[in-house]
Amino acid sequence: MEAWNHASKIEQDVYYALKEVIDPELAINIVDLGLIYTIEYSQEKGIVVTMTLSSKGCPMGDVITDAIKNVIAEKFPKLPFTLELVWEPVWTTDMVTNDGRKELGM
Amino acid sequence: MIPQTKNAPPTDLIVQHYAFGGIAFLAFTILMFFSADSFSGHHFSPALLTLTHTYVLGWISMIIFGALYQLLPVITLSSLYSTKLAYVTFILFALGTILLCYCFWKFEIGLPMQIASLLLLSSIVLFSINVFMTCKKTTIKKIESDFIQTAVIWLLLTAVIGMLMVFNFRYPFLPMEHLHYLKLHAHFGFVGWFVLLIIGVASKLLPMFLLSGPQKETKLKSAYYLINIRLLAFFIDGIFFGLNKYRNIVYYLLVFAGALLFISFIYNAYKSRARRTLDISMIHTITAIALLIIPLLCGIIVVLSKNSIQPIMPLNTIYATSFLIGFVGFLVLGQTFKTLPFIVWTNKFGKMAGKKNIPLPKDLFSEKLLNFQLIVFLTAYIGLLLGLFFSLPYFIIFSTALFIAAAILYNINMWKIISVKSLNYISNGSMEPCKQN
Repeated sequence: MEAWNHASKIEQDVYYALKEVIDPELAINIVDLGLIYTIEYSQEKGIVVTMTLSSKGCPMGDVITDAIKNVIAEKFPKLPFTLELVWEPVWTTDMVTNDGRKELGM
Repeated sequence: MIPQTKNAPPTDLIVQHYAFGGIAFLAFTILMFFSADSFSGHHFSPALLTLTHTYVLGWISMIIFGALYQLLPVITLSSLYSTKLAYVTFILFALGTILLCYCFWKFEIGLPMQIASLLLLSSIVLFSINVFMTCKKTTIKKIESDFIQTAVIWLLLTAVIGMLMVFNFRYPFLPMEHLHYLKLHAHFGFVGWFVLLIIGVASKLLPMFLLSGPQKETKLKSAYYLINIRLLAFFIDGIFFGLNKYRNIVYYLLVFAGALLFISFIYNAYKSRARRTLDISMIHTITAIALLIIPLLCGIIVVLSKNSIQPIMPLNTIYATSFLIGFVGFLVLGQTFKTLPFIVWTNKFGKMAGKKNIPLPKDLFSEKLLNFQLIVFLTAYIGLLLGLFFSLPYFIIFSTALFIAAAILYNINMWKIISVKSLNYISNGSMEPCKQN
């Protein structure tokens, strides 16, 4: 959460909005799972979210990205939105937040 | 972006495989109850042949076919080669299985059994084309894909030998005795099809479900070569030189080592998992892998015993039972409730994801029933093994009754998932079932 303290108001709102997106298999939100790498907002580009998945070819990949689009469209209907899916750095369990660790029983 | 669910085949294609599989599993347990005494006889009996084929074709292979149509696009990152071909495969395979099992039960070795074997062979040829062409669509080289494609080659060979044996019943033309080909047929089916396929699929799915992160493939690659060398050597011996007791021991050690490497791979994934609390489906799966030790140890005793070429009873029956029911059965019981809820959920609720009050895949079935299923099936399995080992007919009969109970629980939960209604999302957050579904 500390990393997001300096974010703009919109970026923080996006952060909390993304916490509503649940990985259907794990029943944990994607922020605490460590799937969200960056959230940026600028007037030119609008909202840009960079994220990854826990594994390449994750069967829930589409569902999660569609859910993100649904949430952002609902909360920020007037802002342009770009979702970038990246594979570097590779997701590891170190990226799970403390809250996520508690939920996973780590 | 790699669109995974967009590559997935139609849900009804997958679901019909699971539905048929569930009914076949129930039919198997009922047949087993009424022919419990056949376990103490020779394995080449009409009742045991019916039971085995209802189980391996009707339930296990049918579920594997359905699951593979869903999983192949995940592994290859491309869509299935042909959905139409998959529908035709299903019809031929279902008809062939029903007819073959009926013919075994009545032991009618004439034209109907020959038609059944040809239906099954043709469906397996079509299935193979679909698998190979789907894998060919991608340039990504993956060990899971090698396991699956090789398993399909062994399945083809199993079906060819099976078909030849069926024709040999009526028109004897095979140079060696029937039991010799039965051994090849069973080994290629058990080790070539089931073991290779399970290793290929499990090595992809289990680390994903356990949230283990990337795993080293060295052990899997070694297992792949060890098991295939054993199968090839067994095939060459079986066709050209005849099966040899001492070479058989060496071949068995190869598959034993391969299986241990697979167990070690899964153990590493299990140890490094982020998901510490396992759900009941994964407990089934981990139990299955632990139970693989029993047939592996039985196999050592069978091959080391003096009469390793001639089956020794009841160890041979325990060996086959512990492999098929203990290892493969538990795996399919657990993975059904890992894969089917996801497939149905994606179809019914995937588009509503991210909105409030959407049920999760695990909410589509009763966890309580699944817990109960695990206990009943495990008790039945232990009872059956004890009954076979100590020749206790009442234990066997009681266990077969418990298997019926487990199959009923499995079907109730499975049909609960299949018949789930999608929900209308109402702006105030409440949900109500769709009128049309």
